[in-house]
Amino acid sequence: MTAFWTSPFNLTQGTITSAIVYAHNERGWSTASAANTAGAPVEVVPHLMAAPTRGAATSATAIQTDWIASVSPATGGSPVLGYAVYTDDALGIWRLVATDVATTTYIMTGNVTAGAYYQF
Amino acid sequence: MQAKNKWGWGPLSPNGTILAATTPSAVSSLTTAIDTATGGVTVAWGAPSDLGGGAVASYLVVLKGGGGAWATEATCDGSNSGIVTARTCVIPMANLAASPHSLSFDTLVEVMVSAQNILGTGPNTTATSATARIRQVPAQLAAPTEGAGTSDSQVQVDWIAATAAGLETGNSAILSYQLYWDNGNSALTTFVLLEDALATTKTIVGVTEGSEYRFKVRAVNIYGAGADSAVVTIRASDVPSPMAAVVTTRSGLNLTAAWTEPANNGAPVTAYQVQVWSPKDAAYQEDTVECDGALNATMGANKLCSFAFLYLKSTYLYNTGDLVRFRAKAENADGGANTQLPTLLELLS
Repeated sequence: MTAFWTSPFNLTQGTITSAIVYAHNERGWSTASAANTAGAPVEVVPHLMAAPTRGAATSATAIQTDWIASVSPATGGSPVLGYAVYTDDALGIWRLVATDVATTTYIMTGNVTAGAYYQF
Repeated sequence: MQAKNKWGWGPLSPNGTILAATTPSAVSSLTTAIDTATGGVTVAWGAPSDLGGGAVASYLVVLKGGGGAWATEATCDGSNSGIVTARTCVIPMANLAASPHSLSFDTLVEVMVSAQNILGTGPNTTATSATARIRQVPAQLAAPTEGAGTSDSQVQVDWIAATAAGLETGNSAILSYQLYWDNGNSALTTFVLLEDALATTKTIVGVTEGSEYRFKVRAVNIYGAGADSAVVTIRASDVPSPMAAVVTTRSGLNLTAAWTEPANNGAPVTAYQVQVWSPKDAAYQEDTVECDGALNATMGANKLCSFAFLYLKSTYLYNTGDLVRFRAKAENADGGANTQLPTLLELLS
């Protein structure tokens, strides 16, 4: 699938991959078959998500970050398998705090400084 | 933030910034009380036990109005930095009685306070104990009265203190009574303040005998003066002076008693009372048959009475040779009981 995303095909998400076929024997090539009109559309990785937001359970000791689930076509044409959550720990240094999260919320506890601004 | 499907991870989302904080918890120890210095209502509260991770930026203070709606009060603006720091304010009582609160007398002052930080407003706390009630100026006093010390040379004015809890005092201690008078000027429409003291009597000396003075009084507490009482008029007068002895003379078979008007001491004489000693009763008896002292009677008007000896004998059981005794007194609006004439004796033929 990844070959269709780049040159020389450069197919975008949802495009039907279309092909024609020639047969060859000792006498040479046949004429081309008719191109297919149906088949598998091109799929891509999930699209850019919106920035995560503050969840209601956020407090001085815990941070809840929420995000909006990717839905078609933002899924890239294939079901989303999980999400990855990163934070800068209010220090500007990013780290992965959770991966393959199946839900649309994550609560970070521990090492949370009251009144500090965290980026996710 | 990024999502993954079977083809791999998508791009990273823009950053989202989240403050590690929540709204403050409820404030503590919310009370209301009467401020002894101003009479206003002091609202005081403690800081939230949990600031939520963010400093309290302001407090929301609302009062329950007479119609049941809650409203803010300018004198207790929880966004004022001084109030945020002190967590107390004093609301003038007049503000509570005025719109939009419109609280009536003795109504409980209900207050709700909540803390606010950058994330919003915490839960409300309502003052449910140690709460203040609406107070007001004292009620209108009863009209003052003439005091027993009034005479032709001084006027004593008395009034009844406002002491009862409730409307009478406005539920606040009486600080003074303000006595107004016209200074004897009957044409005066705006009375002048004569006395402002915590007293219930006032004696004015140096008044003009026979002149009338008008007075009204009002009570004052920390919230101001109550309504003026009704006006009372007091004359600078006293009971008539003791009368001179009745002059008695014999005229044939009659005995006449004559008297003169004493000093009326500021109030016109309204009547005379002539009493005859009655041997039958061993007491003085007013004789209105032969000696009606009322001014509308001829005898009273002329200040002269005539008794037939036979009448005295039959009515009072005098005998020939007895001494007939008279006494008399003059009355005016102030009375006359204290002005008794010394007994006068006359030999009965």
